[in-house]
Amino acid sequence: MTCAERKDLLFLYAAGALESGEGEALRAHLASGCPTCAGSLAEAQAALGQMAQTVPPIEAPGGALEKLMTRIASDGSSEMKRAPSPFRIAFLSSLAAAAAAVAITSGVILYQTRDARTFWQSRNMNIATLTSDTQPVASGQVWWDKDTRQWRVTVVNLAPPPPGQEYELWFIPHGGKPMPSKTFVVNKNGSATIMVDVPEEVGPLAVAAITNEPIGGVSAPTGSVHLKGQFPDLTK
Amino acid sequence: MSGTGAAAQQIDDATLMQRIAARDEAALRALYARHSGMVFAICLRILRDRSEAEQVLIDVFAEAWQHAARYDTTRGTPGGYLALLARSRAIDVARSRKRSSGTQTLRTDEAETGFTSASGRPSSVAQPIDATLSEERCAVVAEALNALGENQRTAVELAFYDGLSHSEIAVKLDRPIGTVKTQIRQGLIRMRDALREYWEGANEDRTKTTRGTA
Repeated sequence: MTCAERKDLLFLYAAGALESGEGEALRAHLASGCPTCAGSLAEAQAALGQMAQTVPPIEAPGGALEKLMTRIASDGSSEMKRAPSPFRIAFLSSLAAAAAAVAITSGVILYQTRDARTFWQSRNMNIATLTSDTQPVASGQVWWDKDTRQWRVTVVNLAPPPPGQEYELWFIPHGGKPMPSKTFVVNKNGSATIMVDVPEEVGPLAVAAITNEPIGGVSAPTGSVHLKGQFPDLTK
Repeated sequence: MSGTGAAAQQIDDATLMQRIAARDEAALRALYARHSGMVFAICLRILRDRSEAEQVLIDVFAEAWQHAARYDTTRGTPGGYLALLARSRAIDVARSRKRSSGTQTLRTDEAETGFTSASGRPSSVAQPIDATLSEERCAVVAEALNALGENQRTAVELAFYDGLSHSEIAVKLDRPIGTVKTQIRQGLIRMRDALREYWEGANEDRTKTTRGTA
């Protein structure tokens, strides 16, 4: 079957109208990474997503929002139980250090809340998504406020670094060498938020990277890259 | 700033998703305020039971909270993502209900929600549009949907809202399977084309606005 023939099936697949056997074959093909079919599927999904939104809205039951907020408040602990990692196990063996780390991180986040309010008002912002090859559940984002020349970096589901180490953020200018930024630790849920000033030398197409390094940080990276992401070219 | 100040003050859905990824509960409340009526309506239409629809409504936003960091803006709007997620989860509930009464239809999966880990990146997909444009966009889709022939529209809706396969739709509507396939496909293509025209127009307008205020 050619991708042109699959295009017809993809519309049916997106609408959930395929027989299960046909769906399996398509899923296998999509998993192989065919960009043409991925594009066709995305187009069909976009059309369906818009169609679904044309239903006249019906007010949700009162109380549903608070049930939702209660649910997400309890999700943090269950998330940690679901995704144990070697790092986390090592982390649990040094609870005293962990407690200190959590206290420091919480303080940093609370301190930054006031700055964050003005930060979010900026419209001159670029965003990079951080992904990980070493920790599949970890992710993050970097918001670059060009007006104040600051990065706001958030990470989630990042395992604690090995004992004696912490995470270090790096600016990597396009085609240049990594420049050290700031070290940080994650809280018990693997999250952290930091704000850092961006040096003049960091051009618009910079890469943000996070490695594990000895406490206090180093001037050139020595550890593994746990999260990395490039800022998109907004001129295109 | 010009007369567009009020619109500029409104935070777009994509930014809300980014804030949710950063664990901003206020952003989740804002997204809920904006889309819960649409999500609940889809759930209710599929499940026809307020209690079940409420449960799926909560599931959908909890899932958005859980996976917001994986949300990819190139795969469509957050509203579209929530709509497809609502549809997918509601059909799952309806099917488990049907299975217990001996009837079975198709399964949904993440690929149908547009929130997948498929390794291939789409080459050309819907561009995110500001929430301030959503009413206008809905009108465009509604118009495209209304422009479909009755047969096409029924086939698309049976697939989409009832999760029926084309063979089940063929039986239900007493039409040949090939005809049903064609009707669904053509219906979706016509909607896609209407949206594409709209998006291209909206992007041109936005480019002009940006240039005008730069």
